[in-house]
Amino acid sequence: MGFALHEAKTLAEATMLARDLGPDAMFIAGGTDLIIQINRRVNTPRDVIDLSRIAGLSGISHAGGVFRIGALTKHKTVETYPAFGFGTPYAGLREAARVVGGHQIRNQGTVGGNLANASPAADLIPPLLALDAELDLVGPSGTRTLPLNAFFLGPRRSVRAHDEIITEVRFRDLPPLSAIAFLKAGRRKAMEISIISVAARLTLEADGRCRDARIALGAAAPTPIRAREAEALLEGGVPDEGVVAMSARAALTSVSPIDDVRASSEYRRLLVAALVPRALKICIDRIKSARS
Amino acid sequence: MSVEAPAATGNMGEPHPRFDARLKVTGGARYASDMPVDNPAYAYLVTSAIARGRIVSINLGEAQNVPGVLHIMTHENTSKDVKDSKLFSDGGFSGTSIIPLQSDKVWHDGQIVAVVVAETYEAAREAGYRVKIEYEAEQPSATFESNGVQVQAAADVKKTHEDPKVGDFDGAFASAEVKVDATYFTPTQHHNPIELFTTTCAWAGDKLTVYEPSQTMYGMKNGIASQLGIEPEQVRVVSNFVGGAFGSKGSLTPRTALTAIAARRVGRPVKLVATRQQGFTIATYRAETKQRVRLGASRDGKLTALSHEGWEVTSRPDNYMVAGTDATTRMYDVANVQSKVSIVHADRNTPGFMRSPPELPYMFGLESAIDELAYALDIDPIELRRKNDTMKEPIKGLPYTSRSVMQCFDEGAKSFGWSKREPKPGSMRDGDWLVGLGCAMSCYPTQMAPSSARVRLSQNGELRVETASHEIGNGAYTVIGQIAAERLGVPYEKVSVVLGDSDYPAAPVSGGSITTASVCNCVAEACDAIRAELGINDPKGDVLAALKSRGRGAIERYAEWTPKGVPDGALAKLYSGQAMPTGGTKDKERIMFAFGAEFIEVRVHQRTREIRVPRIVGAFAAGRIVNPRTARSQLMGGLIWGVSSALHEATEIDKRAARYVNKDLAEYLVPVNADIDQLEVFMIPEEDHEVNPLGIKGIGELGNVGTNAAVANAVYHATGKRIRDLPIRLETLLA
Ligand SMILES: Cc1cc2nc3c(=O)[nH]c(=O)nc-3n(C[C@H](O)[C@H](O)[C@H](O)COP(=O)(O)OP(=O)(O)OC[C@H]3O[C@@H](n4cnc5c(N)ncnc54)[C@H](O)[C@@H]3O)c2cc1C
Repeated sequence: MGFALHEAKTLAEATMLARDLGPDAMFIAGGTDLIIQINRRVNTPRDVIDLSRIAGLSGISHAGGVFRIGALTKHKTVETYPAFGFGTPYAGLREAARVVGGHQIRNQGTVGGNLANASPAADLIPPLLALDAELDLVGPSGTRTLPLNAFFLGPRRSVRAHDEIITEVRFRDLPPLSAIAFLKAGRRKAMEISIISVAARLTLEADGRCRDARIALGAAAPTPIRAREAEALLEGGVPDEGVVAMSARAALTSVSPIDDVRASSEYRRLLVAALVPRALKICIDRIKSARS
Repeated sequence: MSVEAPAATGNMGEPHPRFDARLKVTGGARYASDMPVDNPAYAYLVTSAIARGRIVSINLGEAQNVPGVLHIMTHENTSKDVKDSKLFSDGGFSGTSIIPLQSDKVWHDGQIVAVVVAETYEAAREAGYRVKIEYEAEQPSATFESNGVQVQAAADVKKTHEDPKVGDFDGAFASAEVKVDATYFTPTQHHNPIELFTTTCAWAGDKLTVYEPSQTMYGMKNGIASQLGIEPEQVRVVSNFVGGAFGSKGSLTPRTALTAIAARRVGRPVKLVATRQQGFTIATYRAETKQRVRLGASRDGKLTALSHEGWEVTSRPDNYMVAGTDATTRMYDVANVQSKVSIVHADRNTPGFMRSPPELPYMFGLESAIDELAYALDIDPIELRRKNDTMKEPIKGLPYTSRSVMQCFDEGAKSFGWSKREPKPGSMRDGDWLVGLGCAMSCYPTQMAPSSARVRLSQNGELRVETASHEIGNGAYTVIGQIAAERLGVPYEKVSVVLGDSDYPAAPVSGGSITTASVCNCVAEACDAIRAELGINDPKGDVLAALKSRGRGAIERYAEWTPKGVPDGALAKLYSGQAMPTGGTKDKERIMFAFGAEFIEVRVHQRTREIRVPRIVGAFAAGRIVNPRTARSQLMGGLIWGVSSALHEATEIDKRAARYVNKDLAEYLVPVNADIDQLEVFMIPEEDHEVNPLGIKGIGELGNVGTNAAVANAVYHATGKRIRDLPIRLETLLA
């Protein structure tokens, strides 16, 4: 039942180790998902490869119109990164990062772990989907880049091979008149796995019409998803109350939530219908107040 | 939340900061499992995978092969080692008569079936996983309504039990102009103190030291001795700080004796830290209840009939019960009362005390029903309570020593803004949110037990108080020190209080909110004896100067205090760890309670039914408040827990397997900081020198009584939906 712990110093060392040790080897970053899975025997790795000592995988940078978030960046760093603060177009990222677990978890858990774990309820995924993020995977035989929305296959399943490491996730600057908002519903206000989470992003034209809309939902389907029909309904028109309500109804066509101990499928659908308009309204308000 | 310490008003003491605050936030406070022992071995518990049946075979082969394993205890090698298993209520010390490893029988899920001792915790756990047990399982009965449960009337199983009754309920109810007849449910709940259930046992020759977080030093000392068949003098129990107990550490659990036996067998100290999951089944919990309440009243709101029936789950062998009807039948002026408590035996671990054991569930029934009656009568719920307020309990006609419940309602209502409440359910809104305002009465019996303490005043001005009482978060170090300082006119900073060691003079179990009243009155007596010895009878006289002028180095006095009305021999019982509290409804001439009024605002989203609690107000009158800062904190914690018990907390049971399923803090929900918004506590000055010389009532358990009803009443006011089954969750409001 025990496992051997390997400390990798470089990316190459880590990926080679993983390749050589085979599929019973797993990477560990903050361990806030993996250790619990090991304790509950959801995962029984024979070898665990620690990534936390690999240099260059941590921190957020902004250059050339691109934000890069290293895979080992802690949720706390995202939460406190000034360019994602309230009053910036990226506030939705902070809203997601600040509701991951409690302070201890946010100081320990990483963005890369949140993505790699591929939980349909992972909180950072919807806002990153709404930002059209892409990620880099480094394996023993090279690097590949994928749009984040092509990464997930199902609950806890992704296209990542067992010896591939997520090194960073990045997204381009939003155009002017943009905002993103994130809402999460749980039984209590913090320390909760999302029953439903919603990230909405709007970019408006100067005349108030919607140029671009993204609606990403967590815990609404086997993977985090985009509600594309709802997005299409918003684009090109003025997002008034009627359109917002219509797009919320349209979002329901994209979802296939499960029943579990946290909520019924029916309740999750009700939440999608209630939270999508709330999130869109927050985006509109944010764009308006940034303009004035 | 950060607010100023409340000012001392009326007869209150000073709001000194908690003595142990800094120690606790800096790691300076040593909890039982932090205590260093020489070369410890580590124990890991293996618990049963079935709830009823027997062990057919145990295969230890693989487990014994784990490197570092020293010893494995099972019923095959331990069945004769524990000598006594009597329940505390039958003159024993244990919270359960189910003592594991006595036979192949399994009484409940998660019962200890083996104890592995190894060089490291990891090795012990690993070996624990490898203990292979084959069971012969029988279908267990999980709870009410399960096949095979056995129902017994409380009066049939416990000779001291009384079902309070007066007048002719049936007649009065039949002819009542307005009636309420409703059935309520409260869920299973577990204490979940953050400090886990730990035990460290170290033998030196035939002397045993036990480090264990405990609310009962002398109960443990004597209990362990009788379970191991040794003399109490051979046992010392140490517990300087307790990281939360709430009743769960108030009686002996089987783990202590097993750890002591393990330490004896391996010839070195053994340390046990049970897991969070195991804590759900190796200790006690609050059992689920079902209650039927019937109220009859005249059109103008005078209560004429009250019936309260309760059913409580317990284990197969034990007759544990809380019987909250003892209190609920005495809260209002009503001439015709009946009550009955029954226990329902199921294949479960034995339940036990949990903060306000009787009042929390039973006041939910009563105070919900009173609210229902207010709507049926179309009378304001506070006015209905005023109309039926009384200074005499109705069962025997005994006077309350003091009862300031309406003052609490009036003060609380003013601050809460009750007058702005629109009476009709569903009539208050804020955007998409339905707003509801509710209230309920809180009460807790004022109880005390015999105590002893030693006080020493030294020439350098230092004052030391020794007593084997307990710091369970109740502020005992602080308030005991304050009373001693005040009584002898010594600065508070010069006092040191030592607690939590059975080598000190005996103090009663810290349960039933008795500690401050019991121990402080005793310490005051010891201080008075010092004054008398020095001939300083003027309370302002300088005791230290007198000590010096007599050329004495120090003066020490030991005192024993017994509250009025305790039977003879109570002090001897105190030293044998069996003193039971008196007061409350037990006194023959009067009745003693602390009271409060609690107000809750809820907001329910009209679509998603999310429930929020933006405001909580509690007003309490509990005699003399020794320290308004620690008291407020205690009451605040109570209110928050009350909200928790209304909206969040429940242990879910798999009815097929009689097994708890949400055995950790991720799934057993308690509110987080963000769930609790504004919270205000008022302490109404109240003087009551009949309860005890210092006029102290207990406040430890007052705060969380009635809150659940106030929340349910507010939810009704917001939505028009009466929820009688806790916790109230959004799905209940959707249906
Ligand atoms: C109490 C508690 C509360 C929580 N609350 C939330 C919450 O509210 N919202 C939420 O979204 N999550 C929550 N989590 C889950 C968890 O904290 C997050 O998903 C976190 O981001 C995981 O990161 P980690 O570094 O700890 O991952 P780890 O546990 O180290 O790894 C998780 C998985 O990802 C793989 N992995 C990690 N890093 C990489 C990488 N760079 N490349 C490839 N594979 C990698 C590991 O092999 C493993 O399979 C909570 C966890 C706990 C214990």
